[in-house]
Amino acid sequence: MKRTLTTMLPPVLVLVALLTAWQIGVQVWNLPRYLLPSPWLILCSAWQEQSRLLAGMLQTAMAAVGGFGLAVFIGVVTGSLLGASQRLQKGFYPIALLLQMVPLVAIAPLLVIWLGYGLRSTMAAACIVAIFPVLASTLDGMRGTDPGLREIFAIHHAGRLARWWKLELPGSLPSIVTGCRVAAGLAVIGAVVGEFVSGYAGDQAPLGIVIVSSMREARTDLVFAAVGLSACVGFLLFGIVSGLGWLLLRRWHASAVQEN
Amino acid sequence: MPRGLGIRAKNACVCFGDVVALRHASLTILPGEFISIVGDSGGGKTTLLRAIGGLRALSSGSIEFHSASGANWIPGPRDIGFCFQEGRLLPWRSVLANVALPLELEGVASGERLDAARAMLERMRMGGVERRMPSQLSGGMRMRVAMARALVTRPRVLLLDEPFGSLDEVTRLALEDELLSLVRESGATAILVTHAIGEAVVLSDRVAVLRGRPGSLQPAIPISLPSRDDEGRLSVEFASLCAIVQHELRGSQESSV
Ligand SMILES: Nc1ncnc2c1ncn2[C@@H]1O[C@H](COP(=O)(O)OP(=O)(O)OP(=O)(O)O)[C@@H](O)[C@H]1O
Ligand SMILES: [Mg+2]
Repeated sequence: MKRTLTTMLPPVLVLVALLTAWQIGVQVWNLPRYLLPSPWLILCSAWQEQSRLLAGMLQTAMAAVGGFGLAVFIGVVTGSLLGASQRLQKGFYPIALLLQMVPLVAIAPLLVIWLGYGLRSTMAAACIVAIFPVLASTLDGMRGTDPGLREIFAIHHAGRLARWWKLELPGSLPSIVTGCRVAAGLAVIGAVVGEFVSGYAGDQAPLGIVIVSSMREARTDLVFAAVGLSACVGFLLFGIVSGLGWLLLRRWHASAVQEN
Repeated sequence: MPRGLGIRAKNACVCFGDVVALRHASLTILPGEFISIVGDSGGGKTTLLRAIGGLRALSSGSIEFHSASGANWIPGPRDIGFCFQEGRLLPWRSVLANVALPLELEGVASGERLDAARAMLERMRMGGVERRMPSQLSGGMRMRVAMARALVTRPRVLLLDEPFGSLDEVTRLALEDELLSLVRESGATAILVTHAIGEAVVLSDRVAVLRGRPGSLQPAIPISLPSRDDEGRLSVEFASLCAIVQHELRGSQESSV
């Protein structure tokens, strides 16, 4: 308990100081609200628009979580397949690397064409940006499997699947968890960017759409509120993934085991 | 008739690239025999065990197995138990789950394999620590878990790579006795790599010296002791056999300098 307090306190203090400086700055220089609204104003507007914002947050969260889940599944499976076969790896990994360079904003219109407006497209967008770190970390983990431990499985004539499930996958978990933590943050970014292009307007509009439409109406305060909430989604997802990772590794891996 | 397999190695050579790790090793081991191998560090002892275990293909020569009745035998998943020099436990599995792994890979039912693993740990004097993780064990404890894992399938061929290296003297003597009785019970063929000459002499039917680096395998020295316990260790035969093995080893150092 004391530990969490001492780690939480400094960043919270810094945050409060920054917000106070922002609030004072806006009032002293009398900045127009469409240029830079004060934190307090943002909070008030957010409160007024809470139902719309929360609905948007839910949509964005669904896209991010769904896309992330899909990315973890696809990333671990393809990473494992590539890790199991040198030949596959030589053929496909460079392509995966190249695909990763394609900017998401450029693909988003294609997703709309294929999947239509709405959750399916935004989920796909989140998934696409989140896949690579999971795939790369899985592949890394698979390739790093201790050859000495492989011999244990060889002595007892273990099959491919048993070797993967009982050796390569658990051995790769620390690496996969790290990849997933990166992917969690990216998934939210992917979802919001996807929503810019393919989000569905209306009273269920996701945060990406709230941001774009508020911008058009010069409601900078709402833009800030929506950005803040999407950051919260990212933070939450990251926290959940880190927690799950810790649970998985706590009994054996140095990153999670605590001396006592 | 012993359950153990006979092993015939003929001119077995193993190279890692340019490095010759094992050079023309020839050795005939009878079913149920206990053989120790002593020799210089880097002489190829581990390499020889790995070649016998089928983990490393030979560059030339052959290694064949046969049953006590003389029929050729291709080792199955339960036939070989290998206790590696470094232990090699899976860090994400508890001690018990590590020992049960070979049976698990064989598809043995959960209750049965855990019972077998527990019993084997008990015999290795490791009863109280089943639920610990490998990282919470000392080096000697880890080796004992590795040994329990090598023994849990009741293998026909047992390959032990310096299993007693990091143990205190008392535990070591106790485990040597335990190992001997386990091997006798199961009728397994055992090959033990060790640096301790006394240990090799007291446990084995024959001791082979791997001389030089890369080692060349010397004809194995037959061991006959009045008994294989503390009394045996005090016998005149024990002392003279140790001296013979030591002589063979020292010869190896002179030839490699
Ligand atoms: N995987 C490998 N790749 C390259 N060279 C190897 C490999 N394994 C062993 N060697 C080489 O083969 C030789 C024999 O090694 P080995 O491990 O069999 O020796 P050892 O007799 O077991 O030594 P020790 O008593 O120190 O365990 C050494 O020169 C070593 O460098
Ligand atoms: Mg060795």
